[in-house]
Amino acid sequence: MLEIKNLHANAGDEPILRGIDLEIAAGEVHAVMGPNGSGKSTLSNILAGRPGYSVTDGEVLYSGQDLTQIEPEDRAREGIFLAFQYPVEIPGVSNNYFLKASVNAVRAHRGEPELDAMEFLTLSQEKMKIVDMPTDLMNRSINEGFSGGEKKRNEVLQMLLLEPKLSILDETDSGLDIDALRVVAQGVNSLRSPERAMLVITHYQRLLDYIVPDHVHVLSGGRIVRSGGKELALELEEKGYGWIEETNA
Amino acid sequence: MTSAERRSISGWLEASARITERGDALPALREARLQSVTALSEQGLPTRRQESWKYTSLAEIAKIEWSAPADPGEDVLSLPSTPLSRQAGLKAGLVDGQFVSDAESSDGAGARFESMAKVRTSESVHVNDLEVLGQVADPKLHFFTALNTALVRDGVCLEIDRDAQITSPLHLSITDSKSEALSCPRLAVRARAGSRSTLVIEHLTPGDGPRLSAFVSEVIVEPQAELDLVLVQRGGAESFLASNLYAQQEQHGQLRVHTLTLGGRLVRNEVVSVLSGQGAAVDLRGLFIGSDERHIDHQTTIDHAVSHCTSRELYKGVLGDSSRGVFCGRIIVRPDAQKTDSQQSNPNLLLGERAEINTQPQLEIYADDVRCSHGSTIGRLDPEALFYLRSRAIGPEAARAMLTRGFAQEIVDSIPQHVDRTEIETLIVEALAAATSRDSS
Repeated sequence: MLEIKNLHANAGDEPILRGIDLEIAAGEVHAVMGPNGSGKSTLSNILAGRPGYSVTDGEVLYSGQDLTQIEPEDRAREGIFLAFQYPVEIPGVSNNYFLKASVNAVRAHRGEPELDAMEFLTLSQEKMKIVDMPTDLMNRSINEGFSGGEKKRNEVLQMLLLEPKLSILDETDSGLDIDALRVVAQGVNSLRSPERAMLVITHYQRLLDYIVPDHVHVLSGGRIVRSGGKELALELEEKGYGWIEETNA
Repeated sequence: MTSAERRSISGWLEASARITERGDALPALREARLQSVTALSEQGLPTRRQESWKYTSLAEIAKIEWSAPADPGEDVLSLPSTPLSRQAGLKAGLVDGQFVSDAESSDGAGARFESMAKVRTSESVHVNDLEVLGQVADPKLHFFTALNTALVRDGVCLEIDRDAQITSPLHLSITDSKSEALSCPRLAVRARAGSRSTLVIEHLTPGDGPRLSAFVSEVIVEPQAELDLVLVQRGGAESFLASNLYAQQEQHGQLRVHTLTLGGRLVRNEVVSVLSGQGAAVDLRGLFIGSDERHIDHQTTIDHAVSHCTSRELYKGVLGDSSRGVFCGRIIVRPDAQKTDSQQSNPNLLLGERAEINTQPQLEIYADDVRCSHGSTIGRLDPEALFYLRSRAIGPEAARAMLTRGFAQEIVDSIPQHVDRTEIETLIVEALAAATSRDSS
């Protein structure tokens, strides 16, 4: 589904990624771990197409297409979803209006009929139950005044509504207490299927207790310095990132 | 003054003299008309050398020979139907200066619209008895008020009965349909003590061709009365609209003004609110949307004359293309006005590369125990928010429209519930679409 080959990328003018190779097949869950500044966020931003991030070398193929040539909205329509580390607050635009527009944009792209207000209500209520989200959050402005946990639930709600093929979770665990973490993970796990893939980006191993990955990669200095199974995450937790840096020194 | 300006002014002065000679239908304005004629002949058209006209030029107006307002006709006109009038209760209109009422609803429970020029009858309250007309506005201070006062032939007076609780919005439509004609609509409102009501005013200029409209409103809000005024300005691309609103609020009287400026070549709005009774509150809210080379100017003065009054101001501007906005908010806190609580805010969204806003607070505070705050911002659409929407499959144009509408929403949300907000939103979305259409930022 996703092939990253020798990816070099800048955040602004600063080179961050220095040659990443990563292949993710349908049905797989990959975790990318790494210390602050290792390039985790740059990787997710490159995949989602955030302005200000640029590929300087290498390539990113999504279902065989050059992803870097695709506009952010088209990536979303083609099934890529980024759960933001810091979801944006947008005053004056109701969550309900936004999510319906989003779902219908994806449906239109797939050649499916748009959902009307009632159909969308039924769908959104069903998905909100999965992430244990209070219904009044739908009528409020997007993320405005939401707690940290509510913002992350809202991200996962969007993911459930859009049913992406490739989900990228950027530090979705940050700022969550253990109960919220469990609920968020439950939402993410409900989407796991042989057709879908996930890339879970995290600093801590904790999230991976709930979203159990098939593969774990450790990012350091803009490169993947080690890959392994889920046990690698536990080893990292025990020995710390210093261990990776030492063994690669 | 240029020769064109001199010609305009002298034509208007002659027209005013003819009104006085033939017997004025509005005797309540006798004194004010004389003052207006003097002001017009001495001051002429405002120039940009005057502080309050620094950013707004009326030179375009002098290029057209405007016909003066005609005698109100004898024909019985029908009340125009507008999107917002359909759900209203009591309705009236001014069609090219002529008073029009909906016979079925002109005298509804708790309020009535009357023609100012109508001869006094035993049943109705005449405008002279309302003691509003000519009492609140000051023609010496504002050009368009002088112009209106010199030339107005008929207008509307609205009286809201003591303690009346009116749930259906009252509706006044102002229609200026004649090309190259000056129109001088006038409104006098007295909201009697303890009453609660909402008046929606729609100003329209149907058809093509330039219009010049000098609309003056005088409003008295009596003790404990609450009045919501919703002014929707929907002028055509060649219309020059001025709206000067003068309000006086007595003890615990509350006035909220929602001004939606959705069209017009040049719009100049002045609001003067005098808080003359303790505990009075005024809330001025405006949304102005500019596209093309339109020019929208708001000048507000809130005069805290006594203690324990509250004022709030929130004007939001959305400016596309090469449109220009002006906001000048003057707050006066008189020496006796202790415990004044005043807030002013003017956030602006500049969408066009060549769009411009000049915003300026003017605080004159002569009391020491007061809370006054003000702030203005000028910004473009937030790139983070745009990316967020795009990453959720929403295309860039739709995303910009969504964010722009979100910016405007705060003003819509404050409009009273019983006004048809869906229609208002439709009008706003149309105006926003014009402001964002040629923009790529």
